[in-house]
Amino acid sequence: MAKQWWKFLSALLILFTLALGFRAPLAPGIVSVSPDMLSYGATSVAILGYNTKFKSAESSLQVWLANSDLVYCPYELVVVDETHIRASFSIADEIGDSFFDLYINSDADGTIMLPAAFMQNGINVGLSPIRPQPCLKPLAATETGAFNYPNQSILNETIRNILFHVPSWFAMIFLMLASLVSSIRYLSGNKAMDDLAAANAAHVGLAFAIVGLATGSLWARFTWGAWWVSDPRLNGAAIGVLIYLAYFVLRSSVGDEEKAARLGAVYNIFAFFMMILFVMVLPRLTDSLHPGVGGNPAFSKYDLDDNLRVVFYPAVIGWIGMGMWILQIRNRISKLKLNKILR
Amino acid sequence: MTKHLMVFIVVVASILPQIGLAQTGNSWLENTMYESGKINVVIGVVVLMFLILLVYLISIDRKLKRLEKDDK
Repeated sequence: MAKQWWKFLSALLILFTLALGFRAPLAPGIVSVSPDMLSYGATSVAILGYNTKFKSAESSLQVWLANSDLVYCPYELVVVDETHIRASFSIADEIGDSFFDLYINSDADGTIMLPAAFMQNGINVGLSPIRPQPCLKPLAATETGAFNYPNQSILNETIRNILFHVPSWFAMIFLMLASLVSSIRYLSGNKAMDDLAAANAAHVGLAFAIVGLATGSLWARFTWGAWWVSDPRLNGAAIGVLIYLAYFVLRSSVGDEEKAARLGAVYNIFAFFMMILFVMVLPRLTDSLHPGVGGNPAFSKYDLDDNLRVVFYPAVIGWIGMGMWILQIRNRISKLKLNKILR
Repeated sequence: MTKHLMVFIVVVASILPQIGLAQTGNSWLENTMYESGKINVVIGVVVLMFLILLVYLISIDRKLKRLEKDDK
């Protein structure tokens, strides 16, 4: 039992990520505004917040619109309750940009914003806009210090999926690496068990890849609006899965077992680098909906802030541990089988 | 096992677009997914993850059972 501690550790880490992944609240944010168009003159809009404390922090509450470098404050502001505000803005007939970003600042929520909250409707957009009077008072603290996850429009609560969808891909890549190592060991030592271990690791890795594809697909459906979008990152991941399916087809299609093991091991070394190329390298060369694409890894402070990291890294370690556990069980079965043949 | 995997992928690939089509007309399932900050999408993701791994573990369990049966 002394060597089993890492199994308990990974199970504990997964429990930890489940508990914190669901319990920690989302940071305050702005969900929507209605109407989302501003015309010349006065417009009254309703603002809907999420996890906000508008009423409790009413005395320090400030609402403003940013349009290029212009700042518009409402001439009338009614705080309905913790999540609802009615604000009335007066807009001049020449502005600097077609879109208005909405900002709200208070000492309870810090500064929250909705980018391009309003579109202009029939106002002149020019280089010499009419400047409104400076109206902002000194802002309340921008950092509230609470443990919460970033609140992004469209993503909303689904940002928590980072703690489940991404670690399964990490586990897949780790298992494929284990498979690569076993294949190299087979080629240098010719031990049948190394070949079986390589096949087992690729098999478990494939299971985690299917978890990654399925969870990503569900996530995409309710944020991007489709189960699958033809996107370099997604297609790359699918090709990565197909490459490893081909590994199993190759292994099972060669009759002679030793030849199959040898061919499989050689193919597996290629497969690993092809998979890395399709999953990690190629998607970064083009633009995509998926984070971690177009040059920047998915670890920017907007996608993965410090609070998420506290839960994300244990999740990665936990799921890699689970994958290794399943791999170990499969390897023990293979060893039993092998011993039976040899007996 | 590879055969099972292939069947699984083909079935999923053929079912997914059907679900997508069925849900374009705002079914209750789709509506719940958008409620309260889309939190149910997270629950769906976790359930999916555990279900797939459960099916995988059951398949390993059956493999071991066959081996045990042969041993007797």
